[in-house]
Amino acid sequence: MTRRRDMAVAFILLLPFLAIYGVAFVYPTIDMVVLSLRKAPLIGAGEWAGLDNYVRLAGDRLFRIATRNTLWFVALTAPASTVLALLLAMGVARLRGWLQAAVLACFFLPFMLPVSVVYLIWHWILDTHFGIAQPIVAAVAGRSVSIFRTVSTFMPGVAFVTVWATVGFSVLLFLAGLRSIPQETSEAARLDGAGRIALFRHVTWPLIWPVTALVLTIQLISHLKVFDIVYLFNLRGRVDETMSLVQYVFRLAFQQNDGGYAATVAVAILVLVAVLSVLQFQLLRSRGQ
Amino acid sequence: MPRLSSRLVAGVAAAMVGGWLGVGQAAAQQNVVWWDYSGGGDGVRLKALLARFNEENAGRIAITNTTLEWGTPYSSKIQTSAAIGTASDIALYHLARSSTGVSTGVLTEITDTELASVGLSKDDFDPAQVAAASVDGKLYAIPFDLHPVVVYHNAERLCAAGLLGEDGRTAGMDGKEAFSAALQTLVDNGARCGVTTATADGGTLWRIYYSIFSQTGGSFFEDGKFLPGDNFQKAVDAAEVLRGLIDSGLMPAQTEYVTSIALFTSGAFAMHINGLWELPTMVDLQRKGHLFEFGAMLIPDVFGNGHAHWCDGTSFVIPANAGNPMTPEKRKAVLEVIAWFVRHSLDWADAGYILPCRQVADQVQHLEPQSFYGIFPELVAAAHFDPQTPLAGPAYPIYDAVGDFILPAVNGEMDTVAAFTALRDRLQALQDALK
Amino acid sequence: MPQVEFEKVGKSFGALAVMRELSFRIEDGEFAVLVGPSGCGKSTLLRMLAGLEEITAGEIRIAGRAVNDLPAKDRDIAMVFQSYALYPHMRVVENMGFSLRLRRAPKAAIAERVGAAARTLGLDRLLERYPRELSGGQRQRVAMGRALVRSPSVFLFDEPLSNLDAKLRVQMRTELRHLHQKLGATTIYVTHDQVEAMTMADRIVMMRDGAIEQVGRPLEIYDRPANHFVAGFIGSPAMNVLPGRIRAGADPAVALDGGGVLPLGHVPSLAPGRAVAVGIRPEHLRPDPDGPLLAEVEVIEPTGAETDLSCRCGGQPLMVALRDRGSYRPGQTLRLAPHAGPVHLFDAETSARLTHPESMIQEYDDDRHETRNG
Repeated sequence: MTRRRDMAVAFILLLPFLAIYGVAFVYPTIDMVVLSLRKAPLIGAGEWAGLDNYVRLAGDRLFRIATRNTLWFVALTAPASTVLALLLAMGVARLRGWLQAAVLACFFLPFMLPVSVVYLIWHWILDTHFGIAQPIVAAVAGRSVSIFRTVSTFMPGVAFVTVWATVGFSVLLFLAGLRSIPQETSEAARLDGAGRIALFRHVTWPLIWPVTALVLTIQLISHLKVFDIVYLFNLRGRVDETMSLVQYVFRLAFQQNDGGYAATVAVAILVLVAVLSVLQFQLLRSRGQ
Repeated sequence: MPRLSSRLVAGVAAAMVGGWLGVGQAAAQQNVVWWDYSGGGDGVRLKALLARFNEENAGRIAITNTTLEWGTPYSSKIQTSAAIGTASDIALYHLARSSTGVSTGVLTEITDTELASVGLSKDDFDPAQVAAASVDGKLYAIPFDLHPVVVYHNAERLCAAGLLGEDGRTAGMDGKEAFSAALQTLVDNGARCGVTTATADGGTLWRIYYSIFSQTGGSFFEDGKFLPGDNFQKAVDAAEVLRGLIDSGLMPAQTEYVTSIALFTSGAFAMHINGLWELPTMVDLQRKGHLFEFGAMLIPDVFGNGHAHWCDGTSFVIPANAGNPMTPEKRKAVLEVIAWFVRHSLDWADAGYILPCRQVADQVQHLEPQSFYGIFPELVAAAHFDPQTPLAGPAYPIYDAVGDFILPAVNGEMDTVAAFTALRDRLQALQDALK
Repeated sequence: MPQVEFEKVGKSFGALAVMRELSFRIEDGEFAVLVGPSGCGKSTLLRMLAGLEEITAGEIRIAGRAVNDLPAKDRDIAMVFQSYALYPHMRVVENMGFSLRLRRAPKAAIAERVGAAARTLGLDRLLERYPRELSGGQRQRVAMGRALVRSPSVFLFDEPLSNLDAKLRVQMRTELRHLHQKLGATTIYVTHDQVEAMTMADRIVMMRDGAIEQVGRPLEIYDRPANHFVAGFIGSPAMNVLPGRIRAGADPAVALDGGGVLPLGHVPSLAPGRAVAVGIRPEHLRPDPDGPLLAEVEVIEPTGAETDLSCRCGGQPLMVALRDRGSYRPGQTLRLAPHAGPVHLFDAETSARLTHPESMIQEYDDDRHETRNG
């Protein structure tokens, strides 16, 4: 009897969530898959197209470029950001009191900035004519480079800005992870004869591994879905060569009113994210053991 | 129909008798929902006008306005909300977007009778404006302003180089070679570069490019085809003009919008190509004493076929709310609002726009600075609107294609012929897919 | 040569000095216990010795060598933490062999020493387990095993038994002591539990508020507490302290503020009328019809072996621990006398010990020990 009542209470408590989840996620997702099988505008039913959209996807050069760009972006951001966040977190963890709070705030502040502000800041810093960072670019490249209008430097540039803007959050996760390692465990290792490097290799790193896996997974998923920052930087520029997958969906759906094919690309993204996430999760888990 | 006509007659009568005594007062107050995309300096002017309207028409018509994000979000918002019947009663709309609006069923036709009911007619507007606002001969938008592309120049530098005549107008810049030579003279006289424009900004580049292209006499889009026949070569030629300026160092490559303005206002560059909407920026700077003597001129006639330049305009449209048709009373109020704004467009034009309506344009002599208004008739006469296709308009496929193909071609990163071949094929495919 | 020496050791955080001029020595092979209430600085002192806390004044020497600037890993010290601090991602065998692995000892040697330590501690069957698969007592053993494997010059224990249940704690106490007797290694053990201190220590270092109150053998401290505080801390139930004044007259006695006159067996050279605190251990009081103390029984707590009476004497609380079961009841009035042990006198103001009732306590002939009045 109690069991049944428990179930009833659980159901009542979960109902609002389930309802919203169903209406705002499950239904649109199913509808998206259905839409991908139609030749349809963004609004309106259109007509049945079978697998035509998927055939088109297989031969779509822009889809290939967008996929390549997206994977390149993930490859540029996720590992670099994770390593940097861990290094910063280990630095921050050594600080105490207000200094730690201040330094942490410095790293976290960019994360709180709206993406549009991040875009404006770096767009200006790297401006070809007035950018204060252009002397550095010129020193490396030999001349001023329009970072966000040169196809080869676009993704590295956007990846750099993304890492700058989002590393604070990962630092926070790592810091929480580092704090969850009892001080006594590190002390025991020091007494056992571990120097800084041995301490990191044998104690800190293995114990922080679950956080590392989490940080990598969060970044993989969020960066596979990258849109806003790429959109802002290639806005009115060479979008074809530099766009991400989600941006391609945006363009197809909202600029070309090609709802059916946009849904097809969206399904492809869904599959890509799911497959890569599961793969990465398995990989990270096996390494963690 | 007879019922509607009688109402219109009543409406006209009411307008003639005068606001508060008329039928309008007897009817309940009409609440008009208004959407616009004017968030900047022009937005301030627009809001002032809105407040004035609401004050003058208190008790009769009340406008509630919402300012939305410009570009794709704005167009998408109108399109998606009209589809479910929740769009506004009036919306600001780019003239160049009219054909897209019509093809997606977002806009309602505005008849001659309706225009007449509020004392307007198509003849009040320039034929180019009416053409841009019409699809298949039917009017879907009422112009509120025109904003063409012009060349701003540093009068001191032009004077020093002997390029400014006694009348304050530029001389000796028409013709491809003459223009390049003039720019070179400016550089020889100490300018860091001849001319700046936002060469890294697809949207701006489209306006500049389309201006030059229009001077070839070519047609970008005709009878459902992009760049048919020798228009393709003309398109390439126009791009080569800009690429030549960049290659010869007379115009900086890959320059962002704001940067291109700053390079000019800093005084180092002699000229700047941009929309007329940047006029207030220049005027304000000058009033504060931060700017040299400057002037505005038409883009030089490069190919000797006469002046031509890109132009767009703000207009009013009445969204077609699916399943939620507008009552005749509401529609009448909406038309009244539009007519009022057209007549008060003088304040709006202060933001650097050209007045849309001849009734109002006659008053421009009172405006400062007079010299710019002196070239307004020529600016209007040489105006070329975006190609009449749903692919046109800010943040729509033509603009995207500019970023993808014209931008790298002009900046020397892509072969011009290859770029235009890809551009034509892309746009043609999208156009064909519309059917 | 003493194995561990503290010489005028101090610790301060900025301007705040939490520890001043601590000096004592621990001989080679000795089992020393640092005891005191929480916050007295005993753990900090241990961590300073281990190299986990900076020494801001004075010098610590291990086997004659100053270690102030020596990193923890080079001090040849093993420490067992209260939380055990096992490496959660390593199996028991790896936990125990970690220090040897860091020293690049041959695999066979590691296996041999880990095996030996595991046998000593009865961990043979648990070697392949992870710490999370062990009980609290087993983890405690692994922590000890990890220390044992290294055969360090000094073993440190920081409240190692406080996370164990009462029964296991008693058992481990014996085992630890046994282990020490077997290994004979110098050991410093921190606890707040006076029973652990009394039962395990060769020498007790009694601390309070960052200062040493007394250093000595357990029974010496029990019999001759240097002050009021030590007297109250060591021994259970705690020593009774009653205020009074030295009585003028021929027979040395104290007139208690709460009434009654307590004769002293020894003539203190103290001025009559001087305010003192009289200390009597509960187990030294016996019922006596002629006794000087009149107490009213409030609560009776039989423990089986003894009967504890919580009484009130002249407004002061008074504990009495009797070996007999008697037939006592609340509200009953008893006369008591300190028959079984000495009466301690402390200065009422400084709380320092005033008398040394030599005649009534067992003598110690160990000249190594010293007593300091903190």
